Amino acid sequence: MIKPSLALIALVMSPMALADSSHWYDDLQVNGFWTEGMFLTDDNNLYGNSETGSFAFHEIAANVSYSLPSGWLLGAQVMSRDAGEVDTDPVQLDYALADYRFYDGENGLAGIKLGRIKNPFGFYNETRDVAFTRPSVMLPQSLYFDIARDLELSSDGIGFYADYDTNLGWVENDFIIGVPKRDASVEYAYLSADWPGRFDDALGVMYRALVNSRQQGLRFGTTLGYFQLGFDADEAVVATLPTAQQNAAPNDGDMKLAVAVLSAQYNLEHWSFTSEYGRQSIRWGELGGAFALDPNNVAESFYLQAEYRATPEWTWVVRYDQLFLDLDDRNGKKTEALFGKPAHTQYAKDLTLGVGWQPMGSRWLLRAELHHVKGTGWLPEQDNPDQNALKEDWNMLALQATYRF
Amino acid sequence: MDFRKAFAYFALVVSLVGLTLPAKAAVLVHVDTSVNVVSSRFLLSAFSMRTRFWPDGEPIRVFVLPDNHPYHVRFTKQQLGVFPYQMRGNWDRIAFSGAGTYPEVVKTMEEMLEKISTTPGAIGYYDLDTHFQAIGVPNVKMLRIKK
Repeated sequence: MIKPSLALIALVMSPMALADSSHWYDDLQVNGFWTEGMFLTDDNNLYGNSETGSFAFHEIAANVSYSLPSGWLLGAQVMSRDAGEVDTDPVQLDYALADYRFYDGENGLAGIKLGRIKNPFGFYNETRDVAFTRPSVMLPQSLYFDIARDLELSSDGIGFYADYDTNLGWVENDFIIGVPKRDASVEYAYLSADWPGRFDDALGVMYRALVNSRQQGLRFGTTLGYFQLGFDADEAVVATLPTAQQNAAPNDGDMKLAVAVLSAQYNLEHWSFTSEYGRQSIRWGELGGAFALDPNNVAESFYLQAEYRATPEWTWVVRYDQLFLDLDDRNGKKTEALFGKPAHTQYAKDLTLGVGWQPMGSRWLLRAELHHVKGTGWLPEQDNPDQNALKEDWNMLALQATYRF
Repeated sequence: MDFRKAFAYFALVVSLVGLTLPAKAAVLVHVDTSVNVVSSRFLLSAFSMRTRFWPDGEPIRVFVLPDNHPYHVRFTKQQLGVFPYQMRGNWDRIAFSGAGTYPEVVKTMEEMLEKISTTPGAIGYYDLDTHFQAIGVPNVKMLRIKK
């Protein structure tokens, strides 16, 4: 296989010119990584049985991209992720898309994407599973819930993007419409359990604008998203449940989610300051059962983070991250009275201190971080089946090793 | 102090500052590239791997030195106006979300020059202070950058 342009160049090359060293595989790239994690908690479980030290966390991915002279770029990534009881998937197709760039010029660029596309959400979502694009072992969980990651991860559909350049900087626009990924973990995240039935149809739209100052010292972002998920209850199985659970179980109906995120970052040579604020509004009254008791809900996420690149090899990070699952019930007392769940399952305040080491010229990235958390709002129910056994105040040590290739 | 004297002092200070500043990097491209001048915006976008094509539709092939190479650090800061960690972050985000590819990393200035001279659509950079012989190399031309 030879590029058409190669033949053309060969024709016009003078005999004195150096030989053309292009090959068709110059346009083919293969990249990947392997991450292993260790989590140790004094109370509560995360990514497996972390109270005794859990090694049940790994992320392995490989991607390939091929650019064609015609303006098309083809890319796909496969990933295997194991994260305790939440994510025990074998190899999955993380993204697979065809990207056509129809404009590239002095004032910006524009293109279209088709296929399985990563959702453009905040600063980190598109590469949330790629350790060296994260500032820490764990992303701030208030906004980048690992427990709802499947819904946030990608959409099968169509995307449009356009960058507009000015003298002051540039704006990156991303819009996608498609069917978001959804499975039992989405039910856990939003319906607190894997109920009989499933989300069988879904549609989502998402738009993000990122404003970059001329030298990327300042970055501001806005993300807006809307998802509609149709739940198809399995009545035959519901009928076999105890009466109390039958009454609580969701019926057929739509759950609607609206998300809005504001993002800001200030970059200096040694420091980066990042903050994001998000609100997620859920309407699940249509499902009936226990959900009719609190038909609308607004969750609030916020974090403030400072990174310090002491040397090109060593980076420190400190972050405060705060989640309220119900804005009308910040202390969780209402939920405790209504559903009997501990109040602290409705919030989480996480103070994180971490350090990363990337030896010069090596393919390794090693990280260690400490979390001091008040509240259990983002702990997975899959790893903590008995909510009443959860402790409000808990601490965690996380270690991570990543090799990229 | 009268105005002319002040101006003379000012001019002296400016020229002294100018003398101590290192020379700007040379941006080099393959000789068949259809453009001779690009904006600094276009340059940053191309080296960030966001812009994929020259104005005539030829794919851009970006060559860079390793992140910690002193000349990569200098070029990135002075000519592109960003820090190497920002470039690395942009590349990682693009390459791991299916939005594009990494630039090709060369180990030395000599390899950089060889790649640019033999790869249609190539763009790279060169340290004129210590390697001014670059200009005599066939199939390579300097790109002028307008503000």
